[in-house]
Amino acid sequence: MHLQEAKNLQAEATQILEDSLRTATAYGDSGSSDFDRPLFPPAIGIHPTSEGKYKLAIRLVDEKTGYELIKPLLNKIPEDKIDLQITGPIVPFSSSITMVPVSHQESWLQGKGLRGTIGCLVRKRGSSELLMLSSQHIFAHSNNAKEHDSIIAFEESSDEGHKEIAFLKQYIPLKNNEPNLVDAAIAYFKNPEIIKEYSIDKFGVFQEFHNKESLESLGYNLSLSKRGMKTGLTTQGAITSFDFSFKNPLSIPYSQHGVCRFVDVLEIQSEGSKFSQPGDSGSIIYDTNGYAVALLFAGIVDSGITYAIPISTVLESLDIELVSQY
Amino acid sequence: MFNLKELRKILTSHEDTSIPVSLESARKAQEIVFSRVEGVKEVEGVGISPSPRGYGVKINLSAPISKAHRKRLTKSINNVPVTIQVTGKASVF
Repeated sequence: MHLQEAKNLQAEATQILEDSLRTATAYGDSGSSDFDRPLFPPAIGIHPTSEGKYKLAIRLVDEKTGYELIKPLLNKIPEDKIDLQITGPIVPFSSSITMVPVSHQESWLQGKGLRGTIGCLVRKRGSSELLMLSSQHIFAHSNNAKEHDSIIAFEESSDEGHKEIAFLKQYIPLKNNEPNLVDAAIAYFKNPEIIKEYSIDKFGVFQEFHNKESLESLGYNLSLSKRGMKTGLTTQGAITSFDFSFKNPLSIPYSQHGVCRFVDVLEIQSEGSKFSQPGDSGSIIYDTNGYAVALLFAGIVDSGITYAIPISTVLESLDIELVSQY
Repeated sequence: MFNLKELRKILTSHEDTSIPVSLESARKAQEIVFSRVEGVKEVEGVGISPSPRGYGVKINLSAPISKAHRKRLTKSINNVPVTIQVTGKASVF
């Protein structure tokens, strides 16, 4: 089928699956709640075929429980329109939750704060402590937060529901008088068990990542995706420039001097739809193999143009490594 | 919103197809471009871009520029293709 038809089918299938999951029981437990979501629900996407057409992609953690969950889909969607694979645990790569340091919560509630996305799980090299990675201008409020400041998660559709989920651990200060390579920060969990709760059940692990040098040779051929707070899952991004250096500084909300210049970033553009919008900062951009590529931090509103920091630069700057399992 | 096919056409439209362009050449050209756009406030940034011959230089503009400024931005520098795209103004997300 054509791409638009596949997108329509994806939306329909997602809704069917959501309705189905409301009555599904959690993997491996007795199901004590009326609304126990599986830790790893089936993933729905679009699969390009070799003939230039598309199918609905369905990815399952395991055959037995997976088939049960997608029965409603299989009953409604013709088999020839589906590409079904058993892949093992799939954890969507970014959390679509909102956060703001609690020291600025009041200013945020007055409409002055920033929302963003948690990118993925990381660890400091040599440590086993699970941490979360995002943009500095989100986690650290552009140099205005301090270590151990709270990170708040907000319900996606509500300004009222919120809870403290983590604390700022470290950030790379944004500089005004010299070029910046990185806009990134890490936080430690209030309680790591929160990962399994519904409010951030879409938290990301990555097996591998592309280093900057590999992007220089094959980056243009990568098909990129990301899941962000504002635009959700977006796909079909492509690197259109690397080592991109801004001549003009970017305006940084709430930073002491207002502007910072960034260098050596990636420019990503998408076919057709917008890849990212404000609120998607902190998302991890990844390729079709699930390799992390970059940390999203900027873009041009309503344009399909996104700017991101190469993930290898982020990892090196914070002396962290990606978590592949936990 | 940008059509990547059109963008690829732009990126490859000035090609002298005979000589491959190395990453090192493209980086040197990028530095030259940066020096030439000093004072052109519409230039958002400059990066390395794909090219059928290897690499090129890409200039992003926040808005169209005057003819006078345009003359400073040649289609190639030391045989490295230079492309220009009016992207708009960037901001943190």
